[in-house]
Amino acid sequence: MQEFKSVPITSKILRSKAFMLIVLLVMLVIVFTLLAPLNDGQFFKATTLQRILSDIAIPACLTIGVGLLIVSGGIDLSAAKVGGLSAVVISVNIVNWGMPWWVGVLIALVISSVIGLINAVLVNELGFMPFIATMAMSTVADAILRLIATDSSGVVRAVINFKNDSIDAINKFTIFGLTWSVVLLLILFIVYGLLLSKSKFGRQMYFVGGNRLAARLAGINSKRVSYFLFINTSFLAGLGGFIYTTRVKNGGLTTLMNDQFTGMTAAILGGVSFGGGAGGLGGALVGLIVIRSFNQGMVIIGASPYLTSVLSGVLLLVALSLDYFSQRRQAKRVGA
Amino acid sequence: MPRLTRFQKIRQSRPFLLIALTVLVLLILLLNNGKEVFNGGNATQLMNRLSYQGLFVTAMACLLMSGGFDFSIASQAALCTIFFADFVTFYPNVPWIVFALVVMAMAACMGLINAFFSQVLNLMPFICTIGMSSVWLGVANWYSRGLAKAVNVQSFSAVASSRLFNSPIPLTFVFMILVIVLYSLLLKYTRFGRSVMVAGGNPTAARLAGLDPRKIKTALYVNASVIAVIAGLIYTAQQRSAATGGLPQATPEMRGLTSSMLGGVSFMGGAGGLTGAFFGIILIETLAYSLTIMNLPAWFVLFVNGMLLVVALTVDSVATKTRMRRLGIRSSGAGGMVMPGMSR
Repeated sequence: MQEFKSVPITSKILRSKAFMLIVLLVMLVIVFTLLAPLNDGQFFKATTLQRILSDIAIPACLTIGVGLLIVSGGIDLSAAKVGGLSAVVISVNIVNWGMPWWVGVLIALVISSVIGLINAVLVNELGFMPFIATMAMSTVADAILRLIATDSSGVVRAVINFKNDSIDAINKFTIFGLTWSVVLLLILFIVYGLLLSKSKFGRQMYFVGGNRLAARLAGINSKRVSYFLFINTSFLAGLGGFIYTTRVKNGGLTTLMNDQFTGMTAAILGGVSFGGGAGGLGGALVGLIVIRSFNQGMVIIGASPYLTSVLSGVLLLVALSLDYFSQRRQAKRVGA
Repeated sequence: MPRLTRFQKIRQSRPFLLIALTVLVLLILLLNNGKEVFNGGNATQLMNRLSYQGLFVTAMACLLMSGGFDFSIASQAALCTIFFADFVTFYPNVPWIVFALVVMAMAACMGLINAFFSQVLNLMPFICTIGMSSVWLGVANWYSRGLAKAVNVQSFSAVASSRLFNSPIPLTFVFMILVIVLYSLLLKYTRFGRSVMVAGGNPTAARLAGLDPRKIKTALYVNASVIAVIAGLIYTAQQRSAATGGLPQATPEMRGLTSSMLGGVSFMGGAGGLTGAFFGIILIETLAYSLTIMNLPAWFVLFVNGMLLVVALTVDSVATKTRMRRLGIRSSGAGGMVMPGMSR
């Protein structure tokens, strides 16, 4: 039998996903810094960093939710649409329904959570495959979104702009000089990171993702884990939709659709494995920063938005391929 | 288990159920809107839609039976038809069929890329083809700048406008029926067709029986892409223009998936036939057409489309469980966490 040598800490760091991502990030920064002057721009400056971090809380909500689901072996493709639905509910409430803004936010979060609950029921009780169930629910959420966005004369409004003083105040709210959404992002990552890595419940997510049958035999209630995660993902997506409305002050048919795969790509880039049972949120955060820097860089060098969409697809495929190769290497190491 | 009579067998089959539902939808439409909804123009419009959707269903159902999946066929078709539109505009002297063959070859290469990701790198077909779909659609948008490209070739548009013996039936519809019949026969009576089912149902058994599931699936990915482009060309001929917005917005891959599930093709591969899938798409298109005629709002049509997939899946799940129970197999307890393509 082959014995395992203990790995020195330096090579452990060198081999980690987060390190690889930081190398990738540095490379991106160098490339964009060199390319930016071609478009009379400058990449390496404070405003770029500010832009990268400013709205990052919105896709971060999707990344945390979807990342945790993937850890447990699931997936949610409806998250972005649910976030869009939440943004539209909040906007329409302020424009048409006339209830206080926070009631709209509560309704949006409840609707989001209910969609998550339906996802969980479809997957756990009816045995659907997660992405087909969530894909179908994404269409249903889209239908509800359009229904809500329809005005009294029956026209579907593409974008619903609103003006609300309280939401303006929220947008300007800062804590220690940081925008509140950045602080919220940090809190979310710390809370969910600790939940995943330190709590018993978080350990259970890994077990369920690694081997659902074994987890059940070990006495873990995998259904409860799955229910929690689906509802949590949709809730966080709804929260992302709320943050979006505070930043942009509208909600519409295409809200958050650019971030449809961002959460998934960031999580996989950060080492959350598609088979389930591996990865953490730290890597996912770095993965998200890589994606945002990439997008911001593309804007600064003046690339066509269509090209950006091509490359974000390529990025997803690269992330998946890297995941495959690291899984294979791991399998070889343990001699499977 | 008691033996079923021939009549019982037909009555319990999936196509019978789907035809009955289609008739029901049409009856409701008739009661609601009167006889004029069935005039020649409307029927032709429905058959025009069916002629490309039916081809997409053929492509998707064959892939599903082998346990594969391709989310990107609509984007591939959009990109290829945009290239086709430019080809025929730049070289008006060359017959269009040459360029049709060229874009079919392009599509075959795109199918090979999907096969590479799913069969060589073992990525999940669902997720990696979503990525590819974003890539192809992005390239198409980038190349066409999001604008529609007109196709003004008389002989090409004639493909869509020609009718069978002065009847309201378009020739493209007949072509689609022929393709479906051909593929049904191929699947049923040839060695390759039989091996598709085996590869989808149990890849390990297929390998042990001397078949190569990877080769079979690669052939089917290429096949799906090529059929999709033929469908895209029919769509282009009908519209007389190619654009990124048209075909992908009709979500033919989702319709293909839904109708396959309605028709009894299992997501895990190894079950179902083209007949069921064909009647599935007829039901879906008739329903969509009826909802539009009845002037129902867009959100409702979307809602019905989403719910139809849920219903189809529920039927599929219940049918599988019943079959398992009848065969005396207990569920493995995977609980829906199994992904297609995991069993390579």
